[in-house]
Amino acid sequence: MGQAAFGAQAVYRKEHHVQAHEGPLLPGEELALMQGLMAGEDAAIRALYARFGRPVYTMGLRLLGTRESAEELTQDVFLTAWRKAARFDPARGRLSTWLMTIAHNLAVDRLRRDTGVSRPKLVLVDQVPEAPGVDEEALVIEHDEALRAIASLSDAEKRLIARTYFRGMTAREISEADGIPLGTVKTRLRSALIKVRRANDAKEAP
Amino acid sequence: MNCDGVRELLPEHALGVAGGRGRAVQEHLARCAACRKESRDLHRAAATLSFALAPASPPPGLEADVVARVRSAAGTAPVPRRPRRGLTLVLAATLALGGIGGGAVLAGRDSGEIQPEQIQGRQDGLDAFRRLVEASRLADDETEASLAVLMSPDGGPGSGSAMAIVAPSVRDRAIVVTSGLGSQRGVFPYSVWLADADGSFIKVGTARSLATDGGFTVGRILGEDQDLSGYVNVLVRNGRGKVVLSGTLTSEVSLPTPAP
Repeated sequence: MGQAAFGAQAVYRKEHHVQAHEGPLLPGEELALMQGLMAGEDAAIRALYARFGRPVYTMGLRLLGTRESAEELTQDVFLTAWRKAARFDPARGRLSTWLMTIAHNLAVDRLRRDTGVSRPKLVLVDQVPEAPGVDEEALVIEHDEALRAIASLSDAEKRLIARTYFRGMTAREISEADGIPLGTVKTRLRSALIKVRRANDAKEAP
Repeated sequence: MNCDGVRELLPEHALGVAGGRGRAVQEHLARCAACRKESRDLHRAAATLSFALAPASPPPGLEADVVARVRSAAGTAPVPRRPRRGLTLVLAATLALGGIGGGAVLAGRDSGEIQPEQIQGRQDGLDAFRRLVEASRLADDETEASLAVLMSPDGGPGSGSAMAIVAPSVRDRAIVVTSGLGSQRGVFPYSVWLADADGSFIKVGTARSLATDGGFTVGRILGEDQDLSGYVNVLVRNGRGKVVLSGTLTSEVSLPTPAP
């Protein structure tokens, strides 16, 4: 999708008279994109897909395990984004956060609904020698942030995050499975998320 | 739920595993800026993790499928969606209202022969109901539509009906239709309120005159950050502050069979 994705963004910027630049979308561009999505504009949907189609599909494939599930999830995510587009506010956060939260929530809902189905082995980006086709600058930046975040966690925290965020286990389920107090699990989850946040706050500092 | 309770849940909420408690958290976040900021930071951290997955390449045809599905939903021929039970009741109520006139039917009163001008007098309100129902159909599955029958608490004249829509995807909204109220001196303006169990009020609207059937229609679309959840009590007061009609919003309204 690499060059094609970049091309769709360039086309969208040209059609909407947005000054061309490389890298992630600016807040105003994100808002314009979402307004285009709300109106069902072909160019806006394609630009959004070009930017987020791969990470959303990746989320579906890695969490749910089959191509069919991943394709279904991808369609549902973009449809949900259309339905909720009016609620997106660039002042409150980045489009990537908003859209990937939708994708993750839908994926976890399915994970928890489809109990008993065998789950794929979790493959993180730092476990593959070279990420194939990842040439979009925005995606590279986000992969860097993710690697930095993962690296900031202890092994125990990585395992905890993997079981919740990637496997959909609740704090109570982990508490019961591991025989540790519920409050301790919650405290560790919070601590791990704060580490993730600080890992990238530090990167953004001058 | 207070701030401490919400903050204890926020990490799980951000990680997408808060389960059924997510709605309570959302309701708190809608009115608490400090917790909203904390939630935003944690969600941003969690979303970062999504990019830690080894990337996979979607099949070439998926983009076309996504575009077609969104355009279909956004276009003039939206994908048919199965209405929820509550919404079905609202649709049924709307149809019944459209047939023989508003509040009197929902209040179960025998209104006798309905004059054409009375039907016409309700038309604006009924059209508003229909628009609201259509709007709610575009919203997601968490949309709640509820109805109330309004009656006088002391056997006085008048009746009415109310509808409220609480939805995560569109602004919350309410509409109230009345009929048979008095227009004697001092009763204006009528004001319509929604109240929650804690005694907080949201004003729906004000009426300074009545239609030929002695009724009025008021509606309100709330602001982006306002939430109608919990505001189930409907009150219509006259200009003296007396409650002349009241009712409770519920999704389980039983509709009386209209007299032949």
